[in-house]
Amino acid sequence: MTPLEVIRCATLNGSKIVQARDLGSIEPGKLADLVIMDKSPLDDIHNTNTIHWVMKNGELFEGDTLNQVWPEQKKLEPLWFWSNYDVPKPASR
Amino acid sequence: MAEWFCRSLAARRLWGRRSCSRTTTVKFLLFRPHLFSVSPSNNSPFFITSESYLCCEYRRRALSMITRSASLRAQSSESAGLPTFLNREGGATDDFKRVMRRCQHPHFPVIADALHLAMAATPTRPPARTSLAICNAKSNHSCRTASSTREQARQGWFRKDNIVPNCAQMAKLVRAGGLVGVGSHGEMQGIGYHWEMWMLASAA
Repeated sequence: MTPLEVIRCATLNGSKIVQARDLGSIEPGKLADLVIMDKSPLDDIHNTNTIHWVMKNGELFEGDTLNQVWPEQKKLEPLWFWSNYDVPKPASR
Repeated sequence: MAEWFCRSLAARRLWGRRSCSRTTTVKFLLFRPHLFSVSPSNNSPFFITSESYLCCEYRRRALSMITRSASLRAQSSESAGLPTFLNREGGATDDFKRVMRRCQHPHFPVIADALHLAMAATPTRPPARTSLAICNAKSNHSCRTASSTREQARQGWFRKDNIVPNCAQMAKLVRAGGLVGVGSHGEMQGIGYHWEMWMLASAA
């Protein structure tokens, strides 16, 4: 498959399959959850791991560190498995 | 797996809503445009994905370690039979850590949310034999390890130039107008989705 076909499978087709009409492509009216990459995955599909920015839920994150950079600057809080492998904390939501 | 799950969900919804007969449901499921999964499932046992290959490999090694070492079983305090890998709270048991240390392959924590979801879904049977893994999505080979060295971390790591067999069908399906999606399991969080995409791209 060409990289474009693969990317279409990964994004637009998936949203069609689960019938999420506001996801899957960059269009006016859709949700802007984006991944911004350094190199074009259209040249080589293995460039999909060169993630630079991640936009999620109206917040912009740095791909390398997961620090939030927009709208406010916030460092990533330590995750439980960095220090304590044994005891995961239950999700506080 | 996800596709299969969606399909079975759709089927269940159909069963519930209109009490249609079994044959119409089967027809509906057969002639609707479908997703096909390349991961091992009940209808395609020979397809294998990069991620499931890796997990099978880890699982095989871990299980062989368990069966081989009798001392380990003697030390096992949690159960009389096979050691359990996860305790009720979702943490790794001592058995699990011992096995993983002897296997000399990287062991990783899963994201807590995923683990709790899995445990909530199967209250009687914890997700015991899944390999616990999280990895850095930006690297092809290396990964963040809990306790092992970089060389150990690379052991058994699935390389990107290994092409997964039997996924040329996907390309045919796409070009014939089929709806093909990408999905990955949770064992290899982050990188799994990339692997699946790369695998699709490797198809002619």
